[in-house]
Amino acid sequence: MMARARLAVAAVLGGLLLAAGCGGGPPAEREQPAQEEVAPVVDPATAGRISGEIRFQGSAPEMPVIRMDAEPPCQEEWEAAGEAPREEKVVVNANGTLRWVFVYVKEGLPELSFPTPSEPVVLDQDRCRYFPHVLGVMTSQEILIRNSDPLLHNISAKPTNNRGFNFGQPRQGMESTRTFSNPEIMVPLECDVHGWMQAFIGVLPHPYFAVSDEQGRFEIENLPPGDYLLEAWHETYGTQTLRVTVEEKGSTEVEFSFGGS
Amino acid sequence: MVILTLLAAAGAGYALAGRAQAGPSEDSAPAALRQQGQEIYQLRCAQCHGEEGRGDGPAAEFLLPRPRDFTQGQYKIRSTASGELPTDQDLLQVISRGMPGTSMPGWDMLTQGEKQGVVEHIKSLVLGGWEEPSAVMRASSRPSPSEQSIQRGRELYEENECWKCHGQEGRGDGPSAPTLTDFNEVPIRAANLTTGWTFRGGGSPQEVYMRLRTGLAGSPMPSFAEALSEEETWHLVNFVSSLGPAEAPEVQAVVRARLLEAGLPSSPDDPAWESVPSFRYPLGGQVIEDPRLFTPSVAEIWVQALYDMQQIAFRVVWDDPSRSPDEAWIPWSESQQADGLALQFPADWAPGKERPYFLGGSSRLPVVLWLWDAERGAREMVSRGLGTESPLEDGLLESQAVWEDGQWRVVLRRSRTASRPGSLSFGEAQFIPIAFQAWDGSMGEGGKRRAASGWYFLRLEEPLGGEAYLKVAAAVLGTLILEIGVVRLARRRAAG
Repeated sequence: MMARARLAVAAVLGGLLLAAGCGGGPPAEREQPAQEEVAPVVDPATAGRISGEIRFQGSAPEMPVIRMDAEPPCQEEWEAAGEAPREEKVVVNANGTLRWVFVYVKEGLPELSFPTPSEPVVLDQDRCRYFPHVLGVMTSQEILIRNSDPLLHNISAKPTNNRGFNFGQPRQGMESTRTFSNPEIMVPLECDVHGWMQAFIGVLPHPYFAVSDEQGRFEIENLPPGDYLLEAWHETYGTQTLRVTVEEKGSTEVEFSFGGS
Repeated sequence: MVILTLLAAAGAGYALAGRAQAGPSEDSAPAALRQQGQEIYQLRCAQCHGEEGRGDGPAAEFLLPRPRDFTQGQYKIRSTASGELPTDQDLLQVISRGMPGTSMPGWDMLTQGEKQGVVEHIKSLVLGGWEEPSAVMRASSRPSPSEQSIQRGRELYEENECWKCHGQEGRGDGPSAPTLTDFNEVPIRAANLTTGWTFRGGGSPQEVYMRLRTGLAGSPMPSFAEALSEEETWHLVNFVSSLGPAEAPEVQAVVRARLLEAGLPSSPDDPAWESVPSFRYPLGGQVIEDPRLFTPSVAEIWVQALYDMQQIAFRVVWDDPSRSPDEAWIPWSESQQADGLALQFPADWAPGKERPYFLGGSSRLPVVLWLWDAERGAREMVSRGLGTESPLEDGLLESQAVWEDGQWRVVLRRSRTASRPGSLSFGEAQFIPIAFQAWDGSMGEGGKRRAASGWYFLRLEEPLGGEAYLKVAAAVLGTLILEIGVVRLARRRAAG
């Protein structure tokens, strides 16, 4: 870990050091110029983080219960869990915060390279609902789409900056992977068999995004120090932006506020 | 049908106007080709697809399904995987043949070079630029559509829940059908799988196979390439192909009513109907008078007729995915009304007389409507022009109706003799004008907003039973005897 950190420091500072005529450094670092085309990666030693909360103002709108009686396998599971499936266009948490807000760094990132994670992001179709309802993914990162229901779902992506797709998963346990190559806020996914099913995917060329959770919290880590424009997107309430400064190894707490009726 | 005809006529007109331009040379530079394609596009395609290809031309709002939005790059008919753009060949094929069951006509009047120019232009309209597809799919060879294959296909139809949208009998009436939308969130119908001639990409087994593999992009129909093996896909194709013919049965000018000795069936599902010939009639939207109907839901009906000494009975069958009114279909129309049907006859008819105006008659020449709707049953009405129906209170018209799996079957039965002097009676061996109208209440149809046909004929066929053959045989025999007699007589005279 330390070794890698040191290497990264060197990668970031290498150019400066060379320019200053200091030279030196271990032989391994001397070989860096062979990869000079590749932008440097983030230096975890100086990276900071942004965390925050999405407050909700006003009275929470009641979300309608989704009628699933046409799909007994889903309906029965919800009933067994003693829950009623509701629409998720506005989900206000018990603590007065807003869930399913996609927060991401919109501007301010230095020229760095962000490796595509090899781990796919999972989108599950569970009890005739998408989980998660909102998710983020990096460009070219795999999205694993799984059908956990014993019935037909079709997954229709309706992007505007990427190529759409639409395929059927008629059996329980089916898994397929898809990728998006261009950044897009947000790609809607729909199931035409079940008109109420909708999910949103934020596609970014960097890993600085998060989705607010059941506490209305989000965290964006490993950010290089700098000034950023942060945007929060919500499917019903639209977008908001904030200017945020991240200090070296610093932690910045921010707050967005949606609703307000 | 009327709107289609109008569009086709407009298309033909434009084609003639456009023909004056310089002919293409096959090896013209791409830029020149695209330039020519753009000119043809603006002349012949833009009125529906819009000048910039957004599917928003002036005619677009009158069309269902809506014209393609070329900026989205969502193409239904492809030989490429879901998520990929079509090949040039796919686009050329659609331009040449059109899209069956929609307002998109075939443009075979264009030369190959002109079509290629249009393809180049269309490709330039997609947002983000055109990416050529990476691979082309080909249909594997089709296993024979044996009974086992069709049966396996039916099971796959069930297991893969094709019926969720397409319905148990394939009539586009599944539980998810009412909420389906296209890429631009405009409501779209699930395909009626029993009418292969309306399949957008063609009704041949190979074409159906391709649609299952690739999906119809921009529509809710997904690709099943990952879900089904090639063999399974073929079984499903064989099942779908078994639901109806690939080509539309020909329209006959005359509904031939058969004589039945044993009393007429009153139930739509009486087995007596099974052996009665059925005649198909296409309907078009009523676009002559306000309020107009540009996108009629009932595109065709099937008519059978039987008569005995006293009565005449019709069974009319048509596909309608909704038993209206049905609130599930509110996404299509806030106003949910009852479904309806009308048989139209001249109010007063004798051979040689002038036929009334085909849309509800006129004050000079009224028509009689046998008007049935799902809420009130059947009534006989007089109409002196569209929307002027007034009841004939004779109560002679009886009806029975069944709606099942996306299909109405309605029997209308009445005495053959006129209820009053001067009104219609059904004599044998006459060509009696008949026309048809239908309403799909879930689509907001009602009143003048109806689908209608032009005039056809009804003929009560004289019996072709044993008696008829006997008469012919007796006549032949009689002639023979007479001839022999004449010949003998002549010989005797000659000998004498």
